[in-house]
Amino acid sequence: MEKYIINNIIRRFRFEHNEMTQEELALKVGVTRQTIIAIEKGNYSPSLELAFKIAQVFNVTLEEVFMYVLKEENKFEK
Amino acid sequence: MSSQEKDNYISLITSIFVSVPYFVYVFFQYQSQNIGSGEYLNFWVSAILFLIPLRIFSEIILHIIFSIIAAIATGDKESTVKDERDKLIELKGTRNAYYTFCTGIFLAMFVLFITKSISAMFIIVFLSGFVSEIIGIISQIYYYHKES
Repeated sequence: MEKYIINNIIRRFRFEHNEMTQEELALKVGVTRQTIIAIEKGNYSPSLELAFKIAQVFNVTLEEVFMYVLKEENKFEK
Repeated sequence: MSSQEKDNYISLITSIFVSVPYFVYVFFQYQSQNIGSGEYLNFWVSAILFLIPLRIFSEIILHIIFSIIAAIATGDKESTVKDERDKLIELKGTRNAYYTFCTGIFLAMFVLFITKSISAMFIIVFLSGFVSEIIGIISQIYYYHKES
């Protein structure tokens, strides 16, 4: 069975928004900085509510920040 | 390291500092006293009942002391608010602790059935309570490291 993962480009959006820090984003969405770090690295998939909040901070839609991609097609993997 | 992660390390230290000396004390009491066969149940039940307030008060005090030391040592002013990830990790830790404790209880019942020894059953219940708590804390630390 093909394995899908949730990926994101939060880091790019932070950079485009006046180099917003992880701490600032965490404060805006009401979580800890460690949670933002875990989400950016793809180690933690946020709840739907938190994902919407993050998208709202950057004024974009959910699909622009988060992608549901095949693990092999993961372009953002470090 | 987040404040929740530090809390887990503090909990691990406090539970070892409180539970291990108490277990050793109870075990030596059990070996040194000449308890009649009908008094075993009374001895172990009182040992467990005494452990509950002892754990609550000593953990509160030790937690405060260790938190102050940790805050002075690291100068950390990080938020202590728990978010969804912290709650999820806490739930996973509680689940692992619960499974361990359930296994211990089944083992205690099995030992009671085989040996008919109330003391053996209570020793296993004691140990499974302690081990399940340690597993709960260690698994939370593990999930914090895995997801960070």
